[in-house]
Amino acid sequence: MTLGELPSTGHLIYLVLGVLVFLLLIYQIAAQQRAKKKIGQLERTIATLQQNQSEVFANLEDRANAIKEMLFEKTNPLTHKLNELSKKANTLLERYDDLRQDFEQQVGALRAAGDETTAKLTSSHDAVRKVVQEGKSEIERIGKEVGEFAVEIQKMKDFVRERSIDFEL
Amino acid sequence: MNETNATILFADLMNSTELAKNLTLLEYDEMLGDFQDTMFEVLSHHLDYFGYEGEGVDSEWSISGDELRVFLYSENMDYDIRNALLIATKIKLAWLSSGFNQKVLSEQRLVSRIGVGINCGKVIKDVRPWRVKIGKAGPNIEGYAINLTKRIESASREGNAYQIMAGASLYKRCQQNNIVNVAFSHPRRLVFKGLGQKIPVYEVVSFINFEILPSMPNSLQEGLLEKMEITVRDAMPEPWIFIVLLRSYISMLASNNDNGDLDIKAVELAQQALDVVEYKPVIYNILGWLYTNGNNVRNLEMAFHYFDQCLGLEPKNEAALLHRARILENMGQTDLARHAYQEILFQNREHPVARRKMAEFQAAQ
Repeated sequence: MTLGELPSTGHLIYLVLGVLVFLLLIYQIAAQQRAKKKIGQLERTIATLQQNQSEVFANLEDRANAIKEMLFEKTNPLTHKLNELSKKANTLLERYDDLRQDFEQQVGALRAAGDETTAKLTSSHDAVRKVVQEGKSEIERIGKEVGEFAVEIQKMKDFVRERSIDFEL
Repeated sequence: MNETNATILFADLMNSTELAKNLTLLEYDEMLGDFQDTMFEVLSHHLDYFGYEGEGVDSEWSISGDELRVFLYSENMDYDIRNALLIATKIKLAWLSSGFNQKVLSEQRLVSRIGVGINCGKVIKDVRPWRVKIGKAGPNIEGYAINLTKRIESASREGNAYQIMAGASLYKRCQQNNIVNVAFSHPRRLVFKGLGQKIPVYEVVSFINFEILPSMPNSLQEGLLEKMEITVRDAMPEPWIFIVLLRSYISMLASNNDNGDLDIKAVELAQQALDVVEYKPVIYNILGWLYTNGNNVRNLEMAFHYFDQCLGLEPKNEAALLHRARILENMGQTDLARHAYQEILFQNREHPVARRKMAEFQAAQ
């Protein structure tokens, strides 16, 4: 049925209802339009945000790359130097090993010779110690005699002094 | 048979007969035991200390009852005389400090004394066959000198200084040889039983010798000085103790063993001795020495005064003359000092110090 076909009283109600439905439809459509518009705005905002985020990421990436580059520039010479030092240390260790080997070889030879010399020195040392010991004993004996002699001299001096006093009283 | 020169010493306890009467037998025996122990200790130590071999080689000695006999014949009579005088003084000193006499002193009674006679002369040493038979082959010593010494010893009771009596031979030897600083009293001419003539006896009035105390046995040295000091503080001290004590003080001062006031103490004792000792020249000389050498009492004018006092009594006292000359020299009185040294040479032309000083004066001119 169409609008023309509606009864007049009843038809008014139907009309009002129709209008209401129509208005509701319009309102609905308008609300949809606003929602679409809001969604569009949101989409644009999201897109803008996404773009900004991308920019920020890009920017951050640039910064990170810049920092990385800067760090590389800074650390690269140090690394180079460290490498050089490491090389030198390795060289030194190698040289030390060589020297140690040489030394061990020489010490081995010397030890063999030293054992012989030590034996000779020990016997010489014993002989020297014996001589020194004898000399020491002799010096001690002479020292003791000198000490006793000094005591005797002192006694004699005391005796002479006292004897002189005896005759001066 | 062997004839030799010997120095003989006899010593015994004075008044032992009276003591025997007054003491019980046990008390008398205790006293004799103490006397004999003391004599043994002094004699055995002394002869060893002065290098005597003993056993009849160069000396021998014996103790019998209250008597001690010593014979010294080392072939050096001067050495023997010096030792006899030392022994005489040491046994008196040891007996004074013995347990018996210390007890007597504590009861303020008069101490028991020892009388000594010393002489020297020829004796015969002979080993008798009977001694060999009993296994004692030591020589017997015989001779007139021994009998005489025993008589001289008996005169010691009459002494009042040391109660050490000497015979004429010992006296002359000491005067001639100047071997020790000993002074004798004027001679007392005594008639002894069996000798039939007057014999001169000399009492020792001063014997200065530094070895008296140091040569005492160690067991007797301990506290000896203090015992002497106590004795001279008590009533009626014997004169010889002052001289021995003062000589000991001088040794201590001369060896710097005293940094205190020993010289003051010595001067006080010497002043006290002037009232007790009859033979004063030695005390004047001691006072002079103390005023010359004492740290606290040094006063050359006082020293000069005391040496002068000594010379007033004995104008030929060489010690006083020498000290006086030295003091004058110290005071810068060169002319007077030279005259003083000359005075010594008038007495003794060989006086070594005076001769050296005169040579120095002549060289200075």
